[in-house]
Amino acid sequence: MSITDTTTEATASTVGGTTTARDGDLQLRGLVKRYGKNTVVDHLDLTIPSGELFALLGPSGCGKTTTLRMVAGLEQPDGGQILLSGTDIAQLRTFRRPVNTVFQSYALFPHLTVFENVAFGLRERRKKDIKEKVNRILETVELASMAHRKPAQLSGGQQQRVALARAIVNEPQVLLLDEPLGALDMKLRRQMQYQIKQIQAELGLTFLHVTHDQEEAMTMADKIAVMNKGRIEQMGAPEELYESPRTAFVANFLGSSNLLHADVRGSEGDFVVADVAGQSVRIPRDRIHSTNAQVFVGVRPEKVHLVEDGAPDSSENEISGVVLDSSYIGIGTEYVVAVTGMDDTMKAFVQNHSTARRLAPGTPVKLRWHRDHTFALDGNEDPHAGEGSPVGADTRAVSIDPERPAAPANQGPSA
Amino acid sequence: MSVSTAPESSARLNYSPLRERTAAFFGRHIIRVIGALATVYLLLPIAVIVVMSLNKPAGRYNFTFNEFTLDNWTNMCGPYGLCDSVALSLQIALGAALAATIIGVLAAYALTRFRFRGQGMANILVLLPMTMPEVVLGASLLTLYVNVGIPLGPVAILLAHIMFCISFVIIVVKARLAMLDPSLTEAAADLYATPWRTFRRVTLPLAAPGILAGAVLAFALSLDDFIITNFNSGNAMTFPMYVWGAAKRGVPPQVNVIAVVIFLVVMALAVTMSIVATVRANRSR
Repeated sequence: MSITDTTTEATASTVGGTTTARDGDLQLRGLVKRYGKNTVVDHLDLTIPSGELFALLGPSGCGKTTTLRMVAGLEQPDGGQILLSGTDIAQLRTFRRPVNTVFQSYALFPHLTVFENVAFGLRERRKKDIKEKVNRILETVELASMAHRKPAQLSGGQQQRVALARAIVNEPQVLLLDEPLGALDMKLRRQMQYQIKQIQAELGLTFLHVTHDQEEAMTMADKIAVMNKGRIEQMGAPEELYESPRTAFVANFLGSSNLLHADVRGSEGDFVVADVAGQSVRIPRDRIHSTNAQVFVGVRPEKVHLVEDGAPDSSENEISGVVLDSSYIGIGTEYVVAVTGMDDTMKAFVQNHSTARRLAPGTPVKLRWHRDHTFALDGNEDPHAGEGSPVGADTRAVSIDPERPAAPANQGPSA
Repeated sequence: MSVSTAPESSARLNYSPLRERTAAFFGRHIIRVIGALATVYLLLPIAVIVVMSLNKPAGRYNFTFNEFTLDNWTNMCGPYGLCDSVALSLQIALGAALAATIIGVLAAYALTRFRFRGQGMANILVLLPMTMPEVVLGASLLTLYVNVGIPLGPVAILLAHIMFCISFVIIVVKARLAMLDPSLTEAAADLYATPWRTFRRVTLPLAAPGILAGAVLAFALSLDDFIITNFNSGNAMTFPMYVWGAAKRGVPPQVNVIAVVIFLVVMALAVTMSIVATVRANRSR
């Protein structure tokens, strides 16, 4: 799957939501929610394809939970449509909507047993074979032996699984998950991420997962929509968002990025040449997300390697600079390098697989990376958008866990 | 601490093992002594009632223990009008508790679950009857009844009791409802329960302890109300009014018997409830 293809596809379904709905698709069209003068969700267009695990990712206050609550029917939108298989459900009352929610606080009924909690929705709809269905779903979440306990007698992870079972037993057209793993410790969260993903694949239900944890979204979701200030910044597969962010917010919120002021000078085959303080950098044409001649040239810190001398490979971009600082982080070393001829600094995350000594501050170095890892953003963007959110920093710190399979987010904490 | 300095420092501290142990003993036991004294203080009046219910008074007044007898217990309804007054009190208390609980629960639900204009004011107004001195309330109720033309008697008493019991029910039930996680009702709605079903299956069962407490409180308040009742009773006679009237001529020992019976019934209920709660907790373990 080439990056270009998915980008165009994503664009088509994001802009205006004009693609035709398949059965089971959830489409949000021009969705608006205001609290007083504050517009929390701002003309949101989004299509969640049937059968996918879709993550709505954003910092707290970006409107993602409000969006989810509008789909559930717990908030009334101030405008727009919520289409499920093509039918507008925005005016339907909560208890008539064919969607179910896993609440952040789990919201388990404390006076009912695990069994009765799970059976609640089935009983309300007078379904048959309740006992069978509930027991089967309790097997799935490995809680069959706890059926007669009360929620207060379960651990946090078990309660989370009851909340999940209580929702999925109803086979909703869309399952809504509101930060479902937020209250669990890191190890348990990993297990649950895996388990939820498995259950989703098994049942083939559509999952809309709201989270502020970029790593959780990337680990679990088929597709991610990054949300900021009530709008979708970018939507696509996790690799696509990480490798070719379209905005500074996405570039910084998902992992971290080096963004350097540059001017476009011309083109050279499939590449556009830009000038970074007198040094030329080549950017693949399909990774330029700017119509402006002033751009930010971007590259992820872990794509960059440092050398003291030698000629660059013809496929590489090179920027020279001077080492300012370095931090040893076990699996890697993070360097901060002052770029020659400008105020900007660059970060480079170097894996510790060579026995070479650490480069001392003051050492002149060349920063090199493969051209295909370069992207360009509009020069009018705020290069610090999406940075420094406490949550982002937190999840990045966690991603140093060496037992995790190497994920794109596997880099050092940003400065 | 090294061995050589040990005797020296213990001498300076004037260490006495006996005194240490005595102090520790009191520290451990003084709290039990205080607890026991407080319990005696609380229960002594009840003990006197029980003892005097088994007395055969020497004269008109049942003030000094004269002679043990079971006559008062076998002839409970002996004194004229006593059991009728108890029956009337029980009827009014039941009716007042029932009506006040229904109205109070609905009011508490509205005050905690909805946002509306004048809510802050409503929250204060519903508590007003509770803060008003009973004498003032009774007197003004009398004026009201006379002006509106409601005849004094059992109906007037019932209406008055419902009125002042509602406030107490609202307070107790509101406290309970405020403790409930609002996402529970959202979860019920999300799981296809209509607002009425949500109330029936989630809110009501979870508020039940508070509702029960409110009902018991209303029953107790109605049962022993004297002041307001006295203003509005007309010819009707409730149990507290009977006792008040009899006090002038000498309270018959059967009044003590009635009091002990009420006490025993309440005790039996409390014990049953705690046993039920324990059994339930064990079963769900």
